[in-house]
Amino acid sequence: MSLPIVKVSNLDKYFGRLHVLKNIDLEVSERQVVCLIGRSGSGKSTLLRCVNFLEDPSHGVIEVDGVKVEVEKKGKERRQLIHDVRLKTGMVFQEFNLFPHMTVLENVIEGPVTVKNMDRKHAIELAELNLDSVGMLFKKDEYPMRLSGGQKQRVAIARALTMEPRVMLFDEPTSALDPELIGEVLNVMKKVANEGMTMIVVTHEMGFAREVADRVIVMSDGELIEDATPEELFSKPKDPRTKALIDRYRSGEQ
Amino acid sequence: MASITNQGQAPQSQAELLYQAQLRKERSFRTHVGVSWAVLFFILIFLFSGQNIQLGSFRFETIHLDTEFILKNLTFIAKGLGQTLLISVLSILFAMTLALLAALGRLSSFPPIYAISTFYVSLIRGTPLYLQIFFFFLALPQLGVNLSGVVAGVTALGLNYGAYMSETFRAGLSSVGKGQREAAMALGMTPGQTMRRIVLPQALRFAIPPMGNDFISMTKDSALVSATGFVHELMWRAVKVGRAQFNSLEALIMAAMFYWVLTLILTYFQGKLEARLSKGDR
Repeated sequence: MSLPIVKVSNLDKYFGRLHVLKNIDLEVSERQVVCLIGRSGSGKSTLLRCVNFLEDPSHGVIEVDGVKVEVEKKGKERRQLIHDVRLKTGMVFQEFNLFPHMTVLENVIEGPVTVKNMDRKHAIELAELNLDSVGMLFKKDEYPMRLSGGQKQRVAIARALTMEPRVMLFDEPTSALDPELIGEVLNVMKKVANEGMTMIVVTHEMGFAREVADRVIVMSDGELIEDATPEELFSKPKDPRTKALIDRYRSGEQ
Repeated sequence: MASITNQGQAPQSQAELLYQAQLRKERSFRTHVGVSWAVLFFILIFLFSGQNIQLGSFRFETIHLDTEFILKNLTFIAKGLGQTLLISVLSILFAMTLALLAALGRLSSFPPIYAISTFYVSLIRGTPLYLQIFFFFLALPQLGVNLSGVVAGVTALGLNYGAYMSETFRAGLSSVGKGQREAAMALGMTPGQTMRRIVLPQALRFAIPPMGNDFISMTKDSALVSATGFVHELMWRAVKVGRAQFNSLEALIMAAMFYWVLTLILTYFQGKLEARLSKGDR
């Protein structure tokens, strides 16, 4: 197995008095697709959001592609490290969070141009490439308001990819979508995975986890309770809580 | 009938008929309101037309206006329109700057900045506009600061409106969801870039219609500046000629008409602007 590209060690997170992440250790290798599953409130989204510091962890260490952030250290150096981590990670949100005052193309080039000072022409070339690969190039001059949820999410994926991250983080990317629009987004994610992107995906889509993930990690009450290949996990779950989760999914499927 | 004569097409659907009926209802409502406005306007003119009316034994007279005075002083009062607009435009620009700073200060996590912002808003909102205007004309000269009429008026109006408009900006800033900031942060934007590129453009857009309303109010509140006697805008001119020739009734009515028409014109454009912002590329 190759070296871990994401390494989370001894991570704790408190919301006020609530202990939402309890001493988490997690390593993700390059090109791996890891799905985080668990009931709502289990801490899976919080863990994902700690990786790029959208949530401030309480203590522990986060390392992404060689950039190591010791959570407790404060100051200017830390801000720079967090910035570096964010440049190495792309994030896709449940609510898409496209910028409504910009066209699709402007949304996608915003990061490269503003953050990386990329030449605008070059950024547009790159953006068009990625919009094409998510099947949204034909809407490049539209405003987000005129897109369906599935289309918005595909643009959001292109926006994240255009920053050329090493790791993609997906935070329940299909949970805000109408059922008939989920497929198009999952297909794009599958494509991204097949192109060799390292991905951490918080999801309720067990079908996707089963089909695409290399590893499925189950979270409950702020802890990782099971970490296995999808075959193992779905055929013989070890933890009763995992079993309950899978049973619930199976009964929902019928 | 309509559906039969409809060039042999299929009869209109129930939904289409209901929609047409609703459109007719709305149109008729607007027509009636328009007619009623015309009637009210006519009554107003009649009240000031100076007619002698004899109805049997009952005899009355409507208000008589001195037309000669009106015609003679029309240009004198009209010349104040430019000053009124000048003061309003300069004041609103000053107010917008202050309001934006105050609203941003309100978001600051640095206590002194937050304090300055809330202190300013509290002080200004806690005192009358009339007093603030006099302060800049009458109190400052005592300290050796002599501002010209327009500068003092613009300062007072700008400071006052800035405090109120900071609330509008604040609402604009908080109308931009947390997700927008997070998306910008995830892309690696600094807080400054996030504010300039993502939050402010959306917040300003949200704040434009209420700012239009503030500007309309400003054109009328600018009349208060006349009280100091140094700015020769609409109100000052009306009071001056009215008092001098004992024709305050005519003079004030003339000024009122100028303000009213100005407001109607501005409201019309405000409506256009709002309609444009509410549809389209949001």
